[in-house]
Amino acid sequence: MNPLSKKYVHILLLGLCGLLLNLTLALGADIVIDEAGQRAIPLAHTALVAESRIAADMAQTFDGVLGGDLDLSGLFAPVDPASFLDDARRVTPTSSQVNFAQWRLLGAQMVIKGSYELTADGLILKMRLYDVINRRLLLGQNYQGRVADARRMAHRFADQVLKSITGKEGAFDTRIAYISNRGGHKELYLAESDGYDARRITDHRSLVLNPDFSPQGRELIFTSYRAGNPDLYRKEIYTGKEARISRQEGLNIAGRYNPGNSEIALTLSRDGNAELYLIGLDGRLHKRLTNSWGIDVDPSWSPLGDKVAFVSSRQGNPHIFVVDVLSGVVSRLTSAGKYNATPAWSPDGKWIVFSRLEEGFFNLYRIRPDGTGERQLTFGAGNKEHPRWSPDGRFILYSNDHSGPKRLYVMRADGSGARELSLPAGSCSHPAWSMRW
Amino acid sequence: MLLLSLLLHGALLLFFSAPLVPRLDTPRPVYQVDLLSAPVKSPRAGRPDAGKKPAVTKKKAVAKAEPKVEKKTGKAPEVKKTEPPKKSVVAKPVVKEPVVTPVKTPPRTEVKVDPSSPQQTQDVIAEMRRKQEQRQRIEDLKRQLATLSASPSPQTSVPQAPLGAVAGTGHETGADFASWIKQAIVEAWALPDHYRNRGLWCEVELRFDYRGYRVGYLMVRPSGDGYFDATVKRAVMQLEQLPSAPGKSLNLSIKFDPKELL
Repeated sequence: MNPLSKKYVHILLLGLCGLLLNLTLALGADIVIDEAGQRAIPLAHTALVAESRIAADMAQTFDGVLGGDLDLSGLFAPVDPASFLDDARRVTPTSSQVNFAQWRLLGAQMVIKGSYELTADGLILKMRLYDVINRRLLLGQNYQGRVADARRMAHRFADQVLKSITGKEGAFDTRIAYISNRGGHKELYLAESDGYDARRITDHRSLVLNPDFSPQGRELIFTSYRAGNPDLYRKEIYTGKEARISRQEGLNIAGRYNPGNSEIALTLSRDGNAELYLIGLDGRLHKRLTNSWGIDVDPSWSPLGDKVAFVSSRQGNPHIFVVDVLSGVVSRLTSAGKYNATPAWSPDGKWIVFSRLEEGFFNLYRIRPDGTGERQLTFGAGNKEHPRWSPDGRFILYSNDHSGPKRLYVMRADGSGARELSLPAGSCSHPAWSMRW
Repeated sequence: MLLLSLLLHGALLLFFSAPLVPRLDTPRPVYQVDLLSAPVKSPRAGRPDAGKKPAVTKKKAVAKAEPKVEKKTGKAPEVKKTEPPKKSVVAKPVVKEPVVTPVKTPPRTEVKVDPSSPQQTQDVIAEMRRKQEQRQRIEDLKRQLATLSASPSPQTSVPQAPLGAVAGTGHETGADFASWIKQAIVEAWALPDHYRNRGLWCEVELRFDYRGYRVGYLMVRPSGDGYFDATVKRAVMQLEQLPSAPGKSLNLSIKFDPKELL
């Protein structure tokens, strides 16, 4: 057999092998399950059990915070606590001590159990997440701290629960920044991710707008009219140090850190028209990103930092556009609606959420960066504006004025589970969501 | 006139005030339909030709029919005594239960003929002929039915098809084991939306012994996402035993491939 024939035989044999493999795969399974009967995992969340002295308020707060976080996640269907049997009241730090049969009887697939101990130094919390079906420990975390830290321990445990179920940590142990006028002026406030423990962190007594968290450090940038002009400021949260980093003539608004924390995209009107620019963290001008007769505002970075979504009126009505940072090429993203605003690029890069004015109200929509898959997320009366993503991409924070003054709401990325944050009274708007704290 | 006006106004008032009167919501009964029938070895198919009942159901029919026959035979003399001969000629009971009484003799009828009226005589003779023809027809039907009962029930190439399946010809009411297992796993599978629309799928193998106990579980083709596979494992692990013994070991491969949601 000559070498050429051998080659053909080899090719033929390879082809046959491939065919056989395909046939084997095509034979298929005896049963195909193409739907799941439940869209959430039945979870039994038991109340904290005291190992020594009882701190009822602390335990109640912890359970409430943890329950709220798990409910917002949408991953779980809570099992009715009224049906719990005696195992719910027992301290079971290891899986061998848990009566899984009881939980199985109640239809739970997972159970959260915890106990606490008050010591001279503070509080020790022992939290466990068990897999009822496979009778094993999924997550065990011990926390030690002050009694006042119970809320934060609950947020952190909720983050870990999400990680043990999905592989991706939650974003509950984070902070949100927002603008509120409750002190008479629009100032910058900081609160926990569920709205508790809100604190004012600026005292400019003028007008503060558009905060954004640094992706790495615990600092913020925002625009303030403190010096009469809308200038860009940077503030270190823990030290309280503040600096005016951009004071170009005209607008210095809507600053956004790039994901690498090396540059800031913002709108400047130094040349007479509102355009997008890149500046350094020290305020030095790096690059002009856009150049058109229309107004270009509200930049939002892609997670890779190579593109910026923004709003422009260059083709008439305000629409969402995307500019490539390196080449400067601009492409239009939205075509529907007469007024699209405030885009926010998701942390996984798959979606851009924005608000659109229709029938007299702004509602939130999402669209893929290639312009496909547009879908409305919120409905009804009230303006839903200034959407921002949680750092894990699971939730969207936004302002809503359907009941009067603007309040902050959070919902899942698919638009479900919307709820108002527990913020103090007053108008609240322009939210920003920090990275993990 | 006044009375008429009052009546008309009253009727109008009643007509328009009817929607304002609160309706009494009578508690409606709640019916629970168990669509999950226990699996059987040979489920009945939905094909019309699969409805022919084989030996097992035939026996039941005979056993049920026996007391009916006694009742009819017990009632027959009474009919003769009380009813006029015209009614006793009607062979309705024989039509209802043809298999049970194949050699039933027709009841005798005493026809009174008035010799003074030839027309009446002719009528009676015609009536007798008509009834005789009817009896003959019934006998023919009985013979046809007996022939059909003796013939074997039809079979197709898919003997294990579940109830309602087009290709099945089983003879027991219920689903097959594969259908039951599928339903049980679907109900047990808790898959958060987070996992959908990601193109994840996996395949597992399940083994059950002849008593119906799960004796083996193997993740043949994992999805690549350990957390998705964990939801599948939790669903499968809840299926420890089949509701009845299959009589032989079962080895099933199950593919978990959630449909995409919009």
